[in-house]
Amino acid sequence: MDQVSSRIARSCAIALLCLSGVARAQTNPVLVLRPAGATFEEARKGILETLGPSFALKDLLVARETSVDDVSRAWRESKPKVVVAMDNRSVALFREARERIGDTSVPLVAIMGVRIDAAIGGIANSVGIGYEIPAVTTLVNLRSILRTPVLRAAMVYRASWEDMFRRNASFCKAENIELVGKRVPDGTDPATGLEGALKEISRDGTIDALVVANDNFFLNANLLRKVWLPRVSGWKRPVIVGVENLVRPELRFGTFAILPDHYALGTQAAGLVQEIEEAGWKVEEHRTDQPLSVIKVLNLRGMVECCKILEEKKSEIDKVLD
Amino acid sequence: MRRLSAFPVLALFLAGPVPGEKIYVFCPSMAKPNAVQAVLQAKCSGSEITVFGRLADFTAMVGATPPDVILAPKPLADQFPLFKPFLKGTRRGAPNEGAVLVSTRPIETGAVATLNVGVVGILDRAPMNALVQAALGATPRLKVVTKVEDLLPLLTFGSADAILVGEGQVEEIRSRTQASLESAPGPGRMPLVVAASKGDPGRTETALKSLGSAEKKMLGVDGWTR
Repeated sequence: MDQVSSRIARSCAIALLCLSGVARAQTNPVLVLRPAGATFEEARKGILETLGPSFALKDLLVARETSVDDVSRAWRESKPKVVVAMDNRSVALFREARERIGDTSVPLVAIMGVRIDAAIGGIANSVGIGYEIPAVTTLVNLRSILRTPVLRAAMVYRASWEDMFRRNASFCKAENIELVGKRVPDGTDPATGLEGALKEISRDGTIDALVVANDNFFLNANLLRKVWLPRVSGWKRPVIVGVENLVRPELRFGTFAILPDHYALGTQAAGLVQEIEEAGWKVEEHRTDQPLSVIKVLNLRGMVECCKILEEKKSEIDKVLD
Repeated sequence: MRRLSAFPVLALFLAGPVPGEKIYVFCPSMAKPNAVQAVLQAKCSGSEITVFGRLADFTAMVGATPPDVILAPKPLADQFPLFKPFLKGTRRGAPNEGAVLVSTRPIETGAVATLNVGVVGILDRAPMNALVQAALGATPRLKVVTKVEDLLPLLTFGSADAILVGEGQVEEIRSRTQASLESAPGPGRMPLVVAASKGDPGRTETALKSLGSAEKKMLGVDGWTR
């Protein structure tokens, strides 16, 4: 069987399995608020396949025009045991719909949003999984493929993300990695602030790697062209990014990309749903878990220019670009 | 007589090459499925090998387009009674390996049932609970992950009190971290991979037996037994 037909057969088989599961059991409805798109569908697939046939997912696709009325209606119709909200808009709609319905007994699992910890702040009976990959995950993965040590890594962040930086630094410390923060005040012009921070980093010979945070304040097309590329291109240290496009060898920017594994994120969310079920359909402890699973993409050409790689570890990389 | 015996050979020649076995593999390890697939494909030329990274994909495909041979942890392979094991993976001569709880703090004996324990999912929820119960003699709350590499983050972020692995995986996990880890053997055993087929396993048995140590390590074994 060729690869394409094999993929089609696999998709059909899974779809049939899922449909038969939904048809068999409607015992535990889960309302899923999510935007359209491949990444959200992949996360949904992870939820569905992990929860199995004793759960039935009811989807409401959230678009720009989706209103609180739409969510309230879907909520009343599906009578969910738990709601899964994907992205910040879905979480905001959930918050408003819950106020309107006046029922806090239905728990919320929130995923795939920016700063989910802040987004679910103040929402009772809720739990979330962060979308930002912690620096320790990226650095431990980097260290595992390099011959050279990774002892100090730099990260540029804006002052209002201080809590995020401190949390990351604390996780890194447990792995004997010092995360060196270059803090830029929020009021500063991002280009000037970033330029200054990168200048300091590139002059510091003790920095072993640069972690580029997924923050639109610093990471956008304009700053990429004006600041990142002129400053970082050709720097003889690994640059770790969280966007696959930025690790393309021809761009000469990112050398290693660590991306969320959306299927596994769905599996992790399903684990939270199961915890909620075991606790009698309530969240025992309001919290935001860190994402556990990642996809690793290596810009081999870029990495070889700056570092020595452990050849045998290449089998642990999801995608190698050359 | 000589002319008669030539017929089967001629028939085989005209029929073209003998099609190889279709082999499905589900065996979570640090190596990526595509890397494992490339290694196995090189050793089993002529066979069509598909290595799955997800349990649901493997289960669905074995049902939808059954292969000739499956390679999977024994309790998973046992769920497909049409497939009869012809080779069992071994470690240190045994067809299973010691269960080990790895944690950042010492685990008190008798406290296992109160812990959150991370484990790689090789079965659905209920049978997975049973497998862990057999390995640990207690039923902790499970944090099921899809990949071996996801176990360490469970400890890093405090999402689990301990992770459950086979003894063969302990060193690999330790090698990825500089955090201090404790390990405590469980009372039970963890399953290893078996090869099972619907009929004659054909050349697969020979091919599997010819795997080198690095390749067998990818499957979590160091030998085979019948």
